[in-house]
Amino acid sequence: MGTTEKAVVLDVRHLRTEFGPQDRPLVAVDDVSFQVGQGEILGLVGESGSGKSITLRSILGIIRPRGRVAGEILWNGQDLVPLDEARLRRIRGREIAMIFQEPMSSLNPLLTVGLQIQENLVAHTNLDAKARKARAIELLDLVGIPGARNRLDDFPHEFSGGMRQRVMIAIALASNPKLLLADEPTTALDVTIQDQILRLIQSLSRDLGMAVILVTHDMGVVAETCDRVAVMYGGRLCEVGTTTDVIADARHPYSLGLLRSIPRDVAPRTPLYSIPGAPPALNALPPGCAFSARCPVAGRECPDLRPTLEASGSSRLVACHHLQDAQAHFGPREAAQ
Amino acid sequence: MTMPTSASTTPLLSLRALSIQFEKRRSLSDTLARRPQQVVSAVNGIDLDVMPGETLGIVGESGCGKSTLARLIAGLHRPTSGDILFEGESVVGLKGTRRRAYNRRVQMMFQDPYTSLNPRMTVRDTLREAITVHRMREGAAIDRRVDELLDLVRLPEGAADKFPHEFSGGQRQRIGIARALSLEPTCLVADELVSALDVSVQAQVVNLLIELQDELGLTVLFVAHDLRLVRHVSHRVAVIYLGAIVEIGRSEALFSKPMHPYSKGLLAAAPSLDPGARRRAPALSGELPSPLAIPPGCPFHVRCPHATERCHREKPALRPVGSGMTACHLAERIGDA
Repeated sequence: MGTTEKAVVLDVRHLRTEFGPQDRPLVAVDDVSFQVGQGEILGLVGESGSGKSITLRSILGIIRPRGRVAGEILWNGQDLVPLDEARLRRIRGREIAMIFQEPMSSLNPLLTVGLQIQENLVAHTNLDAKARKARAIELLDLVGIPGARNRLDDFPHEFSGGMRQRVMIAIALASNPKLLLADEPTTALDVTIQDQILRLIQSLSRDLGMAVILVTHDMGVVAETCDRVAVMYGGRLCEVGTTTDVIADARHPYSLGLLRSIPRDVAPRTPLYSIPGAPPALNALPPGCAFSARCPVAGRECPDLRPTLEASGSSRLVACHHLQDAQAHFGPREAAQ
Repeated sequence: MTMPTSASTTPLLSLRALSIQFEKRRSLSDTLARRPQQVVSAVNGIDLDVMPGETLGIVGESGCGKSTLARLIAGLHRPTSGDILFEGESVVGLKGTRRRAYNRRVQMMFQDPYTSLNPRMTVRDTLREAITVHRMREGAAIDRRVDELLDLVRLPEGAADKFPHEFSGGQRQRIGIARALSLEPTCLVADELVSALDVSVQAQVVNLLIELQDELGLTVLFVAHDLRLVRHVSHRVAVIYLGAIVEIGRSEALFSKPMHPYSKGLLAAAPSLDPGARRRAPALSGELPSPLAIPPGCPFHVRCPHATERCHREKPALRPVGSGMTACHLAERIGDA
């Protein structure tokens, strides 16, 4: 399932987000381009500090005024970057909605969940009070909260973590968004509850034709949920492709290393593959490839010469100078599966 | 596979019907209305033997009591009933020097390296404190030991005189390991040792743990929610549900063929790396019931798809099923399904 078959709803081109002083900026997102098709689930994977959350926030315009966004964010053809707050607000929350990692800190603890859902309906629909209440019940029901009618008057603390995340999703869905931005929506949850929430997002995307960008650090979550995946490192994209392809046959040394460091099909208690070192700080990124300092196949040019994201086979983009060396270094294990 | 090095059959650590209950604070209105005292049963009658040199994985959802169990073993909580035997001797009522001796031999490592190290103490001071309090070394030998320990956990030479904030998460976790090892313990209790770390760094710390364990012949209790890691590290695994063991067995057997319906659900819910194995429905519905009101009969019956009338009435005991032990009336029937 590539973007070619589906109409592209979001087209991000050369996105660059920076913070701090103009003359010594901290570049959190650097020249990131990707597309999301209608009803497609795109996974954005990376470690902490890789810029995946900032990419999401840049799309919604919620990092301004402290952050500076450059490039183009085309939402159904309209560029969101130059829009002012008032015009952005008509899209934000209505056409594009977002859910966060910590539902407890994103919900207002002093308002009932019914009120918080209806707040969104007041802002984005023309429904009257009665219809709003009916819609709120319908939404809670849709996200699988048992006894939805009786829970409208409950406060967030009366829900469990998984149920709170469902409430967040219900609020996000209130305006029938065409794109859902999900920032690590299941990281704070148990695997069993994570599984329930991911299945819910998947079925909503399928049934409502809603596109989703799912930010996560867990390759397993991607494998279980996403159609395509974009791997980020140091604020840049290093590999983009369909989930099946990337997991079965990763090309970039970072994606290869990341997948290899997850224990699977290795003898118990044998040393796991580990990527040496730690993720780089934003103020210590080399001008060339961000991964070069930890890369097992980096050449002399890598720290200085930035690899561009180029097609490697069909429907795959990789940014690396040494693709063949990477394949040779990591061996054929991934391909054999 | 590396087996426990010692062939001895006497367990290093034995838990006998270990239970702990926490009383919920009563408000004045509760007292006036004579509402009964509410009690959280965090650990309910756990029987467990840990062999010298083995790694026992402990898994379960948050709130199941796995961390409380770890803290009970490390002596941070006092059990309400039951007993903990260390090399055949009860350690529950120990006082004075004998308590200190036990505390030295069983060391705990915590999840969050940011909060478990004193930010105002250099690494040398932290290690020195532990070594001096337990009189492990004297005089100049203390500093030699500090260098030796840092070398053991592969921290760079200058690390001793730095403060915790100067290290990355993975390095801080190594300091935690060095601190635990400074007392030359017999048993390590690792509570979510790597869950706060980035995926690419997790493997480094896990490799170090396995290596040190084999080198020093340590016994390790590995409490974690990442099932893939637990499978990789552990010789045996115990699955905990609402403070009781529902299944225990050799790691490979339990992961490849879980017998208890809860273990089955938990393992299926963990994201796999195979996009072909996607499910539409969640592996396990419902949530962990509150430990304030543990369901009668089998505590899992409210979420169990196989539950019969007997499960509502009668609490199943942990009994041998297949190669391990399972607490389920229907294990034989379900296990093969």
